[in-house]
Amino acid sequence: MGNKPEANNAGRSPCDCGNCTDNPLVCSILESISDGVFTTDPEWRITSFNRAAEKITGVERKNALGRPCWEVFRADACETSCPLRRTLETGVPAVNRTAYIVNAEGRRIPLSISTAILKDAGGRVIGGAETFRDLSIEEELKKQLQHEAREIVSHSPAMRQILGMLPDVAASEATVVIRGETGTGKELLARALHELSPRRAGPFLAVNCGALPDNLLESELFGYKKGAFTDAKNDKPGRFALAAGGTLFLDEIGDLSPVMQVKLLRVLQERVYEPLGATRAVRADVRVITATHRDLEDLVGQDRFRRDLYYRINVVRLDLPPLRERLDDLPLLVDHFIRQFNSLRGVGITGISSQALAILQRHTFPGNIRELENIIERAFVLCHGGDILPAHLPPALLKTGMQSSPEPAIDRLDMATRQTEAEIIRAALVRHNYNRTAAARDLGIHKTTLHRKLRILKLDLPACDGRNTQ
Amino acid sequence: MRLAMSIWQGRISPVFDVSRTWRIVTFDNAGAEEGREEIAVAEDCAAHRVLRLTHAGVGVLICGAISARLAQMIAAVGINVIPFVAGEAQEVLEAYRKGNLPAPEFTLPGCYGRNNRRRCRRKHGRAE
Repeated sequence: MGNKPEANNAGRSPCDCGNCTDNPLVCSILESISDGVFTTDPEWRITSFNRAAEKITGVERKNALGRPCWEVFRADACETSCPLRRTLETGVPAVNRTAYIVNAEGRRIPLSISTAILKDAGGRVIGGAETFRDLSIEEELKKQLQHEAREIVSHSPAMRQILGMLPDVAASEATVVIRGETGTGKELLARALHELSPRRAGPFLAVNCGALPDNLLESELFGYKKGAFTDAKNDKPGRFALAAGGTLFLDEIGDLSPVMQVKLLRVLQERVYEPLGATRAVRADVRVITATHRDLEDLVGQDRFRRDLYYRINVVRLDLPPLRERLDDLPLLVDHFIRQFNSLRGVGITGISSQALAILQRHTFPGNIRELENIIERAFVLCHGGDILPAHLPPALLKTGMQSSPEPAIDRLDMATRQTEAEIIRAALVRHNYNRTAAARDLGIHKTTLHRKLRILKLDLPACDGRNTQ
Repeated sequence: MRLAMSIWQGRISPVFDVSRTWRIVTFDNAGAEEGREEIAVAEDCAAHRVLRLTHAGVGVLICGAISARLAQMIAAVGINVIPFVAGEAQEVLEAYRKGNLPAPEFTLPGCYGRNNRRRCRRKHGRAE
């Protein structure tokens, strides 16, 4: 495999792409371009597959050749609107059609696809050709600009429970309250709910209720009519109007003033509101998702949050765990952010060293996932290639890591193993009234081994050895 | 136990996220096939797909490529997902019943190992 110009000179096949013997020059060109290219025979079997196609799809050429193109390419269009099939049926090439493929990691890779008919020297159709370009970088940039929902990355049991509820919650029109510390991804979850909901074609608008004083928040949410106050020279639609048909995300709902709580309660109860200066109520066609980092029950108890509003918004409650309670997700999240920043900045950071990851795992992340994202972003400034190392992490993190746990990870693992072993042995001895032979049999080890382990683990046992009582 | 397979042209559909036909196979307690039906799925919305599976009482899903987010959501509602499967639907079903999934010959190119390694440690296969 590979592009070997000398092979062309010798008239030999420069690679095993399948077409070299026919036209080595064409093969060399195809191998050198950054667009993926594959060709099929009339039965849709892959007949050639260039190097860029390998890179974009993650499928090696040797595994692709001879397989049906849909099994290799796995695009959303394969089943219902294959552009190559249409080209072969109509003779019209497709140009820059957008689609996505699903790679072996389950990632959706956005592509731009073009197709053409392949004919032999006699003009007979011998198959089709498809070229495709990876649009991941463009899409990532677009997402950043449009603040689209990014992937929720987690394998933790607490998050799995939330993910399991998402389909039902999204399909309903119920008001949702998301609870979680700052930086846990409340808005991300709200966006995911919106994108999974029947309202996904509509807009998603977010308002931070804690960031605006009452009068501004009111005009921001409900809008105003021309002449409502001195500077109101034109009608201004509020967020409830702008989010019509979609979802309105009210962040930091716990910071709402008592006056605004009453106004919001009316919208949620009666589904109508009145813009400032309006004489007529307007219907609110929005789904409301709220979020807070505060303990709303506590605020209700202190009479700082209306009980009726609390019950109105608390139809479905989703509690996002802080990062320190889902540290199992740390490698996954680090990998996710590295991939994201690689795409955005066009660099090739390969990963994170085990030492740097160990330092992160010892951190408590008061700023949660947002803090982790900032740490990785900072590392991208200092790291110019290869893995992220401890030197690329914030100095404060290195100090905390050293203070909180001076032992290297391997010693801690060793300690954990010894501790677990000691607990299991002690439990077995108690079960058998400290009869060593019976406990060893129960543990599936020889009694000599048990005695050796008792000595190594320095287990304090009573003088009675249980032989008389068994 | 009910098993769902996303199918297209008699084979496992290439991408579950947009598959249009699901074959639902019902097994009795002894593992014998009790019946099967095919349902059309027009909606691409992930939540809709998860709900269709749960409402159909599916316990196992055999599918082709599937996006990680959708696979996570399906697994989160307690459905065992066997992803990145390829081949004739009937042959795949037989392989599953014999406990022979995942297998290289029934895996999409480039996907054997990475997606199957974790599941291989768990026992599954025979319908219960």
